[in-house]
Amino acid sequence: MAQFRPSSRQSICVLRALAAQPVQWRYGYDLMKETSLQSGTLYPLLMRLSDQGLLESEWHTATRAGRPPRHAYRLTAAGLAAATAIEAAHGQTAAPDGLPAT
Amino acid sequence: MSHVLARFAMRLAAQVMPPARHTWTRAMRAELAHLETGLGAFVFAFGCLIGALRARVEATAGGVFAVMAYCAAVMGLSLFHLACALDGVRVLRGGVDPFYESLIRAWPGSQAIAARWQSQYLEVTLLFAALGMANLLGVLCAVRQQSFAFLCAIAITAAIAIGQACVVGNALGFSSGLRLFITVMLGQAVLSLLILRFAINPSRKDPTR
Repeated sequence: MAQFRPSSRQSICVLRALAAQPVQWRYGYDLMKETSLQSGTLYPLLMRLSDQGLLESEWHTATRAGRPPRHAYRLTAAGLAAATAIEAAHGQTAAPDGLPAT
Repeated sequence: MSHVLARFAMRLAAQVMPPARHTWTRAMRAELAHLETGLGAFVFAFGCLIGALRARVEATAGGVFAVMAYCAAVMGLSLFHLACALDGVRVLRGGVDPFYESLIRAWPGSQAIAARWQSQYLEVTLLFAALGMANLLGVLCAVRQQSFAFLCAIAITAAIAIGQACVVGNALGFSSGLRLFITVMLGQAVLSLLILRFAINPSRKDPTR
């Protein structure tokens, strides 16, 4: 895995949101609402996390008829370790503005 | 109506997204299909379009091309400013200023404007030199991928440009020329910020590097 360097408020926010329920699969729109990030910020972050092997994804069949399958996400073991490392680094100090408490 | 626009934005996003990322376009489209509200769907789709643009620019070749194109354009602007400053030095040392000469003969009463213009040679020359050097600094920071220094260079350039607009506008009293100058500088500032946001060191947002 590449060297770990948490840099932006948004990326930490996404990692925290995903790490809050590590086993559960999450959808993009739900993550948007939870992190208050716009789709233009969230999806590039998800792409990068996926590229780095920190995020896994799969297609889920829609519960409502006529809707397409949804792409769902959760952290991999490496992703969870990364989120824990960030939490350890940032948890010692006050959380950055706008971050949800964990 | 907003749903039609949302679909259109999503179609554009699919066109813009690099081919290797098409799974993500499919994911965005599927998410859009699950949204209920029209306005929310449009905001979501427009955000996805921005995300696709970012993915496109962040693809190595695109990012490098964007930075290089920007640097070439600003370098040209900077050389123009420095050439103006050199010309100002020549005029200050006793050379003939064709612009002043044409101002004198432009229309009845234009001699007053020409006199004001002549009285501000030094300020205009110094500001042109500063503007040229600030632009060069911006190019240097962009090439070296120094985001913060680049932002500082943009701020310095903007401050000098405002000063320049005030001095030249005061000297000439031309509102149309002043507006054009300010429009060009605003355009450059917006372009600079876009380049900073999407092409210079985009991996700063990457928590894993």
